[in-house]
Amino acid sequence: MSPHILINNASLRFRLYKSSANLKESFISRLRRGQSKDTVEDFDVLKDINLTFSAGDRVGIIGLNGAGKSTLLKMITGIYQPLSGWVEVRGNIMPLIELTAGFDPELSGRENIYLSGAILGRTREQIAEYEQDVVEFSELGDFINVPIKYYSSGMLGRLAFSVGTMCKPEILLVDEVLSTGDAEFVAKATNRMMDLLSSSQIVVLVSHNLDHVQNLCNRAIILHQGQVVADGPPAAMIDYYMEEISKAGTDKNADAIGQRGGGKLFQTAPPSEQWTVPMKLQAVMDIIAGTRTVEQVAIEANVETATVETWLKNGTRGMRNGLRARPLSIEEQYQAQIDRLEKRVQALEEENARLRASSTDACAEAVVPLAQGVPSAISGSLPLA
Amino acid sequence: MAPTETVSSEKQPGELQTPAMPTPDLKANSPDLTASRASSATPSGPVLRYSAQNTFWQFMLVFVADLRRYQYALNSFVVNALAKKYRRSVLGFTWSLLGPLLTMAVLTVVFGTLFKRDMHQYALYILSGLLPWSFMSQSIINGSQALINNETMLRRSYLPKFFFPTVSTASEAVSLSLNLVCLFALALAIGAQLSWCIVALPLVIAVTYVFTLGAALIAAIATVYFRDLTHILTVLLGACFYLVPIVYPESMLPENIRGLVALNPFYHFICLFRSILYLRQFPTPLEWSSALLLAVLCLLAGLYLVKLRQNDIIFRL
Repeated sequence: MSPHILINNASLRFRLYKSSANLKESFISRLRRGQSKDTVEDFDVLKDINLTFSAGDRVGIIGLNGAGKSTLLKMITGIYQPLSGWVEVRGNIMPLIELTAGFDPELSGRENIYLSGAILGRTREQIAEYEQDVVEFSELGDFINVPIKYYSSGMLGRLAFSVGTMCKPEILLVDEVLSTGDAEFVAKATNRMMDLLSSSQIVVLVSHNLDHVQNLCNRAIILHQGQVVADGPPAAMIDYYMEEISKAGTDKNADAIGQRGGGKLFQTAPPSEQWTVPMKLQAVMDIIAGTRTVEQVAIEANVETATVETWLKNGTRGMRNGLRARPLSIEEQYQAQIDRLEKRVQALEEENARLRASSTDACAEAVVPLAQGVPSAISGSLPLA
Repeated sequence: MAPTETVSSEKQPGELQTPAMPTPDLKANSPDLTASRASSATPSGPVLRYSAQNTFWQFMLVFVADLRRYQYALNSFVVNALAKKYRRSVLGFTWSLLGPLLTMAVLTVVFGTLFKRDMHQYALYILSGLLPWSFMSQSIINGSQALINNETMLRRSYLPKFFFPTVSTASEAVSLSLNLVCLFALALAIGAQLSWCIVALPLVIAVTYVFTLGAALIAAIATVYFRDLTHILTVLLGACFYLVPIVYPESMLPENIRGLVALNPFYHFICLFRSILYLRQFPTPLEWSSALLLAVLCLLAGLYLVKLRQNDIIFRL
């Protein structure tokens, strides 16, 4: 049976304790029960999450800080158990969440290889199989027998990465560890990581780097305030995400970003799953060609006309990339140059008018010839003008 | 956020390969599958299932499966704990043997003089009570710290909640076993006879271990909620030391309160050790059964507390 992850109506609630629980305080607060000082705050980290990941899924989870991305990964790992609903994981799971998690500073590198394997429920024989590979990959040499408290952070990073990525799991959970390691190690580590990503059947990747999600994933999920707000192809999801973020930025509500108070975000419907980037591109081209109107496209895609206009105005990410990739023709290059120069003339004329209004006549006369001289200079130098 | 805007992702994105999803079947079978991480051994790896609703019976199945799954982890943590304890000390592991011996020497001289006893026999008497006592009290005190001290580990990787109390209790049990070897050496040195009763000793240690593990689990979880408990336990157990006949003979107690000693749960386990090591006879069936009953009840209580609180602990650390 192929590996899968099922998350059914799972909710998770954190309790935040404002004061440390000790006997004296709980005794005192019990005495003052009349005042009932509320020191416990419930905080819904994940709300009614319904997700199915199956073989072949490369899922990128994006969202603001505190949206619940890492918590979702930890729930899949089993560190946090859902308050309601359930999570089922079938298959060998390897969490690359905090790589140094199972390390004991007092023990040597080699002992830590065994320790971190043991925490994942492996046997001695299983760990012995890959022990030598870890030692070689981490390039620690004789340091492998030294307690890791004497390691430099680079050495520790190398050991942690080597240990974490040594086994090929069926399900890989990655939380922002793509760039682990020092400069010399990065190329090797990236190769290893890509190898691991392609050999795993399910990958769940949490990253703030949208390029990683774009390049490595075939499905993206936007989490916001503990809820799944959108789920679909990465390019469309990233566009939607960026749109929403920039909307909040121009909303004079910049503090909404990065805080849990960002309730205004993701209010508009996410892009429909059927409307992939090529479809949007086709629609935009049709509109430009005049075969379809903005309103028709809006109805077909089940979005507002304003959204279609944004597509038209900005182009989708894919479209922009497409335009950039095609070299401009000579005529287009001339046209672009003329546009630029005309803009410059316009700016100069405006500047001229402003100066004329505010300065003496002598000053104004000195400016005028310049403004008149420029357009003739352009028309002389460009054959197309 | 209006709930209507939440995209349900039960459906597969169209462009991906869509293997036949067993979702409906799994839901229909969900009661059977709950806690099935133990039973299934598909070639593709274990099924892990986390949900808030579990019966105690299901929890016990998971507990047994986890014991097996984390067998190697338990072993290596115990070895590491013992190794770290004595690393860099000149006498190393001998300290865990010397410690009780020196304590015994002090107690023997002080109380032996006080009670005017035969020192040889009295030394054996004290040691046979002191060793199990220090195992139980140390395990409970260490156990109360077990979850709190390993907060980072619990937060970053999945480990069953009973893991760390079990590790601390097990490393104390290893110390106890080594101390007992030391006791035999001493017994032979002072000319005491050892009877063949000591073959029952592993069983006695096992029963005591079960009881102590239960108590350590309770202490561990209670301390997460009341951090002061470690200090209180230290004082209470210190007082308990004098409530159990360890340094004084049981016969010294007045007739009317001698029965009350049996109310102390620790007493029953010390009785087992004492009858084998000091009296050189098998414990009576009554002694066996009362200790066994206590041990099983204590472990069940501890595990039940773990089951009740295991999902909450991580948020209270």
